[in-house]
Amino acid sequence: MRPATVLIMSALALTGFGAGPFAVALARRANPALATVLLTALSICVAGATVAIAALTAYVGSVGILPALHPADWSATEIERDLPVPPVLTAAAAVLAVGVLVRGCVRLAAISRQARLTATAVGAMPAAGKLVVVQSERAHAFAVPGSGGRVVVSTGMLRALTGPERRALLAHELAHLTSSHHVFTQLACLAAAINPLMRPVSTGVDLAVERWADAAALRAVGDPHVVAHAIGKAALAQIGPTIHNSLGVARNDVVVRISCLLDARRTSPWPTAVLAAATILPLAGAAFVVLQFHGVVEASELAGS
Amino acid sequence: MVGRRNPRPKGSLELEIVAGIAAADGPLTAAEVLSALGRPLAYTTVLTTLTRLFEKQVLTREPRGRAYAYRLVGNRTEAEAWLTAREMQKVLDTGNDRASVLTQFVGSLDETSEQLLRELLQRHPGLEPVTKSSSGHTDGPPE
Ligand SMILES: [Zn+2]
Repeated sequence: MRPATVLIMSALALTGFGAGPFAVALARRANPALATVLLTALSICVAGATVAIAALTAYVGSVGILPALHPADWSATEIERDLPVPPVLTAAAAVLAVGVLVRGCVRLAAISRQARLTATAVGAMPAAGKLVVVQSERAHAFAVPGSGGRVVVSTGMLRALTGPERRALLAHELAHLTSSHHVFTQLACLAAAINPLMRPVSTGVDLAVERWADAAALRAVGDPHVVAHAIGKAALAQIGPTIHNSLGVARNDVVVRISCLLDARRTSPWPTAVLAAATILPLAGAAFVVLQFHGVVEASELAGS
Repeated sequence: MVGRRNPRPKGSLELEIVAGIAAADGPLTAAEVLSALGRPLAYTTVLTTLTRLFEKQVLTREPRGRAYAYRLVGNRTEAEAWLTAREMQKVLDTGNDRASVLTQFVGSLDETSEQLLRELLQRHPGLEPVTKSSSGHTDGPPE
């Protein structure tokens, strides 16, 4: 009974209770700030559960094979009777644990290297306060965190917009900096590197921070049409000369963001509530699995002494 | 969610003015800056901010008539423009990881989304047609 329950719970925790495919839909409907925090928490919980369950399975499963690595009072026979882990599963768990940790470290190194390079390059450019204006016919606008943060905007982008739309653009980018949105997107990206099932959740976080910044822009200009037009015109302005797409993938969340702004139907608390539940479930599942392992080991120690 | 109309920090007005001047083809006087901002602000507020930006050496100015016309310090020489373009390229090249070191204002679009977007903006005409805005100057109706 117990092994089956542990197995099922582990599977559920590792897959985030199947929340992945719904992440983007929730990011679209829930309160953007809460969605950002909850989706990031969800992906971190599942990534943490992945590492913890894999490491624990490998460690407890190898009690009979490598007794030297385990505490002397662990009784291999007791543990193997209560929670038998087949050798194949033990080996797979060990490979998984090491693999995901290496993947996580590689991604973390890549993220911090990119961040450093970008912040250095942007830091060297002349800025007016936080604003770096770049002479370029292409339409670019982005926020670069680190050392106070900079908003980089090209003249091509500024010329494509009206005064109020420029104000919306600046408010949007400044919101990214003041609310440290990069921390959420980077954490979710790291979690997705550890557990690929969290990739859609990372995409959901990307959308949620954009909506969060759009809400800040809306507060600055007061009219959703102005924000929607700023986003839309900026996206259309990028199409022409910006075939050079350094991100390599089309990000079509622009249309979603605009419909969120323009079709501001009454917001419902349900998506946020569902999201909160979806965040708690993997955490509870992982805790259950860890406690089961702990219980079995504890019992074997008592029996051994 | 309309609210908090004017009590905004000075810093963001400075950025807005710099952005407005950068969008223009040539130097702008305080009155021209005011109209480029497209919102109801006191002329003196704009003038004070312009003077402060000039003192911070963010802007340069030249006399025009009885006033000054302001431009960005950054866009004077060819060499500077070239250097900035190269720095820019470096930054954009490092942005190939979706780790979102850079959070682009908008991502690129595929054709379907582009079509959708044009329809969406046409259905919600907002303030002005999408095509008529390339000049960057609007004498927005001061509410
Ligand atoms: Zn953004």
